[in-house]
Amino acid sequence: MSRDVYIAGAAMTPFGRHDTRSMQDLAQAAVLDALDDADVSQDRIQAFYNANVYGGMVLGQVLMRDLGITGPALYNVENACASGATAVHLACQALRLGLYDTVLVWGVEQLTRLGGGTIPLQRNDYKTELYAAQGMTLPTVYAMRGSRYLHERNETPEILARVAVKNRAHGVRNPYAQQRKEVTVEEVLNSRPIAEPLTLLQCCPSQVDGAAAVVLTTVRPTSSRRPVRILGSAVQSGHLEEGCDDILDAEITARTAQRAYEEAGVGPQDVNVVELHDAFTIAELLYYEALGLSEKGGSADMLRRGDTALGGRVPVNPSGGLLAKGHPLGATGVAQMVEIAWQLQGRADGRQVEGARVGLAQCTGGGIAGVDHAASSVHILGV
Amino acid sequence: MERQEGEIPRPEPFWIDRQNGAPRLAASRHRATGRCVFPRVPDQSPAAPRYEAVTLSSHARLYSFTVIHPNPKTGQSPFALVYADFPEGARVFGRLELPHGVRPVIGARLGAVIDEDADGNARYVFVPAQEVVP
Repeated sequence: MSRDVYIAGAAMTPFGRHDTRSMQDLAQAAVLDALDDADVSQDRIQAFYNANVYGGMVLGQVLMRDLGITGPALYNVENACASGATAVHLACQALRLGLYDTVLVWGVEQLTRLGGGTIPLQRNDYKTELYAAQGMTLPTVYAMRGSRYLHERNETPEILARVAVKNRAHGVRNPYAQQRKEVTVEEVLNSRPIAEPLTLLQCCPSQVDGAAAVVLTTVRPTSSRRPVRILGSAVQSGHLEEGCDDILDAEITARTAQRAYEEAGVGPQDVNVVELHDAFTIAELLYYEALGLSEKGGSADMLRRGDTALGGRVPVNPSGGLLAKGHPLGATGVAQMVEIAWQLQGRADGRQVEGARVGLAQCTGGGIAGVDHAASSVHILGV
Repeated sequence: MERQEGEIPRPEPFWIDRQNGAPRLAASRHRATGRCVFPRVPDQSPAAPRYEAVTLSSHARLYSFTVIHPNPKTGQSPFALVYADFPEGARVFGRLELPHGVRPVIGARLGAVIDEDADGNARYVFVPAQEVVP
């Protein structure tokens, strides 16, 4: 059985430091705004999906108790940075199977309460434990890719800096973004080195809180806005890394994108706007190629031509991406879909991609040693 | 070092192989795919029968690297981390110890060194190797 799934309502809190708001406050605000955006009362919701990484046990029930969002099934979903997108994927499956007609998905994270610094790798695995003791962190993993990319492609760190310049310029236009300051290539390159070739301004902020929510339904929305449909929804897990694989080949992302494209019946050439997982600058370049936005080896030229900037052929991360908007882990995947839905409906004030009809959201969930990322998700939305 | 009565013996690190005398890094080769993983899959793992033991060479090639710059508040000095590719087809992540002022170079030949102290603590590091070293 297959049924169309629509995003009836989409909302998010601004991403940033929310010292005076609890995780309940953030999640409830996003949920109420999404319900209002959908013009749906909470008693119409037949199931709830809560995405989060560090919040603890039965978090969804904790977050929604005071709203009286209780009773129907509430699924707590964790898949690292891909938690939010995975929750949307699971909700789509249930809707398409006809288990529910209308569900609510939210993602939330409050990283500022963790004290800052690099998000640690999991320590529940002998290999990850060994490598973490040697110094492996997520910035390390991406920095290794960065060094190899510059070596193989005969590029300089300037190409990495250009990603940060572009996405932070986009973030200036987005009131929901945490960092809203334009930067130059020189400022990016001269910011504090973190893990060479990555500097501070090439890493997404780790001190950020936020929440995002969507109402998904198989009932065609009747509002005057163009109904946004989820055309393709794919989640994959990473294969075991064996031998001496090419670390510039984002295999899991390419594989996930292929499944989403096939389900949606569209190809990369049909995509008008993209939100992708630019946790570190190098990631964006690798994902251009993995998503088929550029040919293999063509990512640097694509960026240099301005194809992926606002006004370009296929703007990437018009929200500012993780680099400028911030990356509250569990909220990120849902927030990407909020942005794409707003773009497709012409509601992305100040950063609108004119005429966008098909959008793509890609999220990566990582950190364990020995697999090419733990999870990947790609969603394709259309009007 | 003599063990005190009642003291639990420290287990041998699963990533060390002493089959041929001098300690080497221990990897596994998947019997079906023929491809290697490091560290060795532990013997007690239900997955262990799917792998055969491989002893890695003492030398490898630098595949990629980063230099980590700890937050200045920590007072720690920058240090290099590498992916090292071994002739047996295994890639190993670890620290690279370099003389002051020397930068890592992709493609450089590395030696794998296992340090063990009197208390049984062990660690492995990579060091630059001369091309002439067999």
